[in-house]
Amino acid sequence: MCYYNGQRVSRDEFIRLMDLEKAVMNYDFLDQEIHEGFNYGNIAVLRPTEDKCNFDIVQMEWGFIPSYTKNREDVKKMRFGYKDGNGKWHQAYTTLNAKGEELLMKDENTGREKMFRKAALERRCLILSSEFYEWRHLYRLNKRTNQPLKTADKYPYHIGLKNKDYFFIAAIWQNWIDKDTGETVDTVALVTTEANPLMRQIHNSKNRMPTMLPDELAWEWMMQDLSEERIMELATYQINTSEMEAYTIEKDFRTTGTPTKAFVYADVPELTYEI
Amino acid sequence: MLYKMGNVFENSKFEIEVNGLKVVVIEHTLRDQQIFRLVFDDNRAPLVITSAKTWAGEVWTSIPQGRQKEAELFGKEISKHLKT
Repeated sequence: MCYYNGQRVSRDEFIRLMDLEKAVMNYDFLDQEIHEGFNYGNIAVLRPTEDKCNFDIVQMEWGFIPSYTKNREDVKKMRFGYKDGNGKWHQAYTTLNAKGEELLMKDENTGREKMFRKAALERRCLILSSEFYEWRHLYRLNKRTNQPLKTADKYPYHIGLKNKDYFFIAAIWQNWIDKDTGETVDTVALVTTEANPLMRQIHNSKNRMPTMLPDELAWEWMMQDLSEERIMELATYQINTSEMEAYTIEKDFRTTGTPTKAFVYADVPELTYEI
Repeated sequence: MLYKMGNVFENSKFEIEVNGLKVVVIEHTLRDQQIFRLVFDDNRAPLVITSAKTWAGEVWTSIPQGRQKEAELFGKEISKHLKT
């Protein structure tokens, strides 16, 4: 006889509830709808099972940690930058994203594999998302000189796929062990590609976009043994502008509770879909 | 760098009110099983509940254990909502 929460249940039911409990504990990403990369929180990732016949939904820390990183202190230094003993500032190095074009790179001088190569060859996965947000930078003209101002006005856009509730983003993962504490965690980087004509208008400060893969390519990316050439093709895949939709939203959309509500700015030119 | 992700695992979302307390209820499927995640507007921690078969019949239970009274109270309201 077993008890769960003070209720008398069969052994089978007890095992089911304990299993569910474990799953719930491992899914704290459900607490949050919108994930801000720079929080380095946990997100849901689709990862193939060992036999590659199916996949699991697992939780990973967003922000790839290379295996050579010694401990959390070094992770913090990498992510946020730090001042060394001589007072010299070392810039932060962001591994939330991995550039598709550079995934398989080796160091030209030493021939050593760069950070993402092994993961791209052996540990490809997918991130599920329903929409994302980017900021368009527009430079007003100086009334006196008629030259663009140095500081841009930034307008947020809600971006998704037409008639699709969600989409797959190519990603790679890395298991990392803290050499000091023995903590082990799976970490993930989202793959990006060059912006398509629509995203070039929106994310005009960086001209990048996530590598969104249609269902069949997503399956291929995650499940199949691929040549380096094919990995590169998929990693740099550009979804067609005609499949996407984007519109401006309120600047404080993160706190309004309505992050999908369109908001029109009089001074923002309309996007062009046919290019 | 903002992505909306959590909602892709939602099946449905609705709001109930219990004794003046507003509760957002989000239905998920985890390991092929139905669970409900409850978010309260009085700052208490979110609660996950599911239905369980007991010797006394089907009851609502919290996942993990420890918040059985809340599970029963809010679960009853969810059942009512789903029937309407």
